[in-house]
Amino acid sequence: MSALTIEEVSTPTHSLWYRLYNGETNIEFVRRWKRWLLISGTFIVIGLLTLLTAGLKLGIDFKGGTAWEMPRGTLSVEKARDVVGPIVGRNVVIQTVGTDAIRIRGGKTDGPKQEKVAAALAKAAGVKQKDVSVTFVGPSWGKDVSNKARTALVWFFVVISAYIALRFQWKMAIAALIAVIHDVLITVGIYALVGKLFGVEVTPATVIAFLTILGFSLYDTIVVFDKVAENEKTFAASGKLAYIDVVNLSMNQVLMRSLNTSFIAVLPVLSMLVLGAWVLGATTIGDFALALFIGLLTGAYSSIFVASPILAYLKEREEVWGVIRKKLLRGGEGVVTAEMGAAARSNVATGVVDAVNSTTIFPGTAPRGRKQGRVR
Amino acid sequence: MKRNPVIPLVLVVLAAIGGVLGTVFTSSSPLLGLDLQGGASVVLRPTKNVKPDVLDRTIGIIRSRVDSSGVAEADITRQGDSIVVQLPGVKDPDRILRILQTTAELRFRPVLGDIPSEDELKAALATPTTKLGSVTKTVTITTAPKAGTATTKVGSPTTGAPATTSAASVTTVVTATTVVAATSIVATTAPAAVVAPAAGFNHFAIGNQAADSAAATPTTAAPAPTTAAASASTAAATASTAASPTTAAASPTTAAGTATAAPTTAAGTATTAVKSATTALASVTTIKGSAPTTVPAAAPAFDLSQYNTTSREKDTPEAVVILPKDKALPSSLRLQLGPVALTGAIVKDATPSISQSGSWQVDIELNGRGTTGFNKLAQDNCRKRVAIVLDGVVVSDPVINADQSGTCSFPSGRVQITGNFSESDARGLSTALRFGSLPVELIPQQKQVVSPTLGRDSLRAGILSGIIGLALVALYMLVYYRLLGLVVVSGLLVSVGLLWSIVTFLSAKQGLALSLSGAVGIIVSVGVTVDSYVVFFERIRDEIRSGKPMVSSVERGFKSAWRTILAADLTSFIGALVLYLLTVGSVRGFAFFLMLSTALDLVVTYFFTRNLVAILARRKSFTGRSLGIYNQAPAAVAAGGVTTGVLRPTGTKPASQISASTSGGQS
Repeated sequence: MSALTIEEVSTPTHSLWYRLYNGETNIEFVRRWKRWLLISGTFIVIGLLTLLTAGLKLGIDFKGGTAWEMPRGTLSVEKARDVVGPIVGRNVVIQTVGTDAIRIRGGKTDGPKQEKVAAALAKAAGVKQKDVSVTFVGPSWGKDVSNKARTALVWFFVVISAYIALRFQWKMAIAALIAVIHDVLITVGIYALVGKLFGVEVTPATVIAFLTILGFSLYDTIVVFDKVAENEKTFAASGKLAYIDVVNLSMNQVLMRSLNTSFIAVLPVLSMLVLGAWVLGATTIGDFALALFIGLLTGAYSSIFVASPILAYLKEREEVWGVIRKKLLRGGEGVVTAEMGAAARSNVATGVVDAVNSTTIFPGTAPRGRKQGRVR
Repeated sequence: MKRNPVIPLVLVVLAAIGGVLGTVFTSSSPLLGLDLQGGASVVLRPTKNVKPDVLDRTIGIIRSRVDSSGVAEADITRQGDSIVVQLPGVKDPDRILRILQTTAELRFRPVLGDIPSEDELKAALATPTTKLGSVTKTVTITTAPKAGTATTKVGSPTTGAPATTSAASVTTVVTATTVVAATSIVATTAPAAVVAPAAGFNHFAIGNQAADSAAATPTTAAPAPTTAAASASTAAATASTAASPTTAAASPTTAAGTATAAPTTAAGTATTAVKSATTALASVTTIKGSAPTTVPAAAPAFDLSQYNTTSREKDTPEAVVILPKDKALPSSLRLQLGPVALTGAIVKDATPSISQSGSWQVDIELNGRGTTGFNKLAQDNCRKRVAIVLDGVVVSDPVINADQSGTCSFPSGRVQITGNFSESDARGLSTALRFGSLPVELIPQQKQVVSPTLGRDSLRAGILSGIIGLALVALYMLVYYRLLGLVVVSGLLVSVGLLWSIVTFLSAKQGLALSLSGAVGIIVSVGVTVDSYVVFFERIRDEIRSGKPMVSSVERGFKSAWRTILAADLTSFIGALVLYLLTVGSVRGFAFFLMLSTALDLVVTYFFTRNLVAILARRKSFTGRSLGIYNQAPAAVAAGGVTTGVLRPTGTKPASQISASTSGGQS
């Protein structure tokens, strides 16, 4: 709403694409925090509710069991059940994979039985036994894998936070971590949901992809925060922008980069998902790609819409920024906002000086009247 | 500023091209993980907690099993408390996995005789007369020092052993000849060690006559040991002791008296023999001379293959086999063994202990059926050696000693193996006796058999989606950044070239295999890699828009972009490192490749991208417009892209401050 109007004022002749391309957007990333919270919150609540009621659909790698995968040959799902039934029982999950493969997942079986099933399936499908892939996972292995992943996750958080705190500021570390936890919650929730709706399982590939997402989300946040840190130095000295606007300005400046990067990262993943998994029927690649796809999207979202407002919130409470804010709120000639920043830039380019004055509003502290006053 | 951008650029490109050409010329490519080429993997875990060294020993045994089953490129590692066995490309995974999982049985086989090493046999066959001498000599020399030190002690164990046995009425002593570690063979084992070359040679000389021939035909046997002892001339003193067990073993029909008599003569011969090496050689000829009586044909007629070490497939319980002694022992030692008499099932318990004399020994407790069986074995092989065989390797071949009454019986089911064991030898032997070949019982935790078809499909899908993904990225970059898009494309090519070379090199040197998860790691890293370009180019665009000339825009843009890239890549790298260190299996592979490509990204950005863009920036035709910038600030327009070294505002004036920071932010 208001952001748009202001943009129109500052760059009335350019399309959104032009403004994006040239870093001239002026979107209120921070002040719209309630909107972002609502979006994230909805996803997280739905996800968590599904997680609590249905739980995650774990693959055999986590709960133990055996799976056979083979070229389909002459085998139908029903026929496969008939073949497997007498040996390991009919209570198995049978799926076709891609165009010409079939996968059978069953309970806990010992070595000889696994071979027996493989041989029977191969015979029924008219393929060689060596074409049957077998995966067996012992019951305690899955627990072990999850434990290891959990330990790795904790250390991951500890080490990365320490690094960000050292390299940047501890408040940035907190904001980045909350953003990552946000991604974790969303991804887990979505997996619970698609597990319930479409029977998508959590496999080791999912876990790997999941861990990648954490790294990538952090990476993205770091790039954004680096810009914030840079602008912060300038404006803390000059006192011309409130912190919230420093963050907002930085967001707008790196927006195109963020979009570019996420888009670029998504391209190969999408290619893996569509081509690898659907067309060629490579299940593991599909597992990877799906989790990566979900994660890249939430990762890109969270660095902009979650990490930044939190950072602004934390930093506004610092004394330096409190003083600047109060000074700016009192009004006067020194008031400079993000809108003005953008306007100033466009003015530099066009040579027209047309200062736009607007007041600054802070999360939680904004008086209603002022906010309304901003809307034109 | 004054640095030459061309040199590092050329070096990086040359490194990439050279690396790729190198792999082309050596026609090598990265090893593929089993999920990409088919194969099998199994994760084994002990049923109870064990010390790392026990696990390492288990891995050693598994490795030798895999090696002997003819699988190439097997990768066996310890990850935490699990053993991960990976067998990429294996054709019959089920068979191999079965071999790994079955705890091979411990076998007791009677020793028929000693066999020289295959190398020595071949050498001997090449030039019979002279080489035969050298065989004897070399073998003798290798064992001589040990034998020499053993000499004084030998008397006591051989004669003393029965004495102790009589004291402890329940126990009969079995004198060990070899143990796990070579160094510890010395004292009690010395007799056998010294006998080995002599008897082995003897054996060789009398050809394919059964090992028992010595016992069966005492007349021929008698000269043989004697001359053999003599031929072991360089260790004359040892020879006397050497003779005693052999003769004792070889001629069970003769009483103990003869046995003691024999050494004396042997020693006598030996002492004279020691005076000149030629005499020893002469005695070799003596053997050769006596050989024709049993083996008419001259040396070349020997069928060497019958002395080959028995393969795993032919190592059946019923067969007469030739098996090596433990690897820690001199390689020349191999034994010809009779059919399996008993298996490890007879052992109820085996523990290392310290004897009254303060040396380590192994106490074995047999179970009920085992006692009967072992007594039969002992009586059949009284004063002869019985080999304890594990996984096709003789871990010990003690002589069964007789008690005072001259019989070899173990009525109580308690057996001791004594020898000059170190503590770890004794422990090793007792674990072997207790658990069979593996010191711990292993249970498969995770098993994966990937068919070659599935592997090939995954590989194809991975490569295809990788290429298409990269192509899409390149296309997008070209559209978005125009000329600079070309930099991205060439930079990606350089990265791919370097990555290919490094992975191929590591495959050859370290056995690194590119797995599916690793490939995904690489595909994912495309995002991180290309982002470095994006960050860099966006900075350049910011600089240009704010009115800087091209050359300094590039320089300043890189400076601030590098900070960001370094921080972001480090985050990615640290995260991957944590995963690599703390996880197992496929996550590790993934993390490794992510780390590798992140590190490469830094190298390529610093040496390639930066310099290439710097070179491009010098060209007049390379303006903001070639980067798609149309809203360039007036300063640049006024400067016309000429390098006038426009300095940025220092931030003292509010107005310029705002314009500077909002238009791209200076550090």
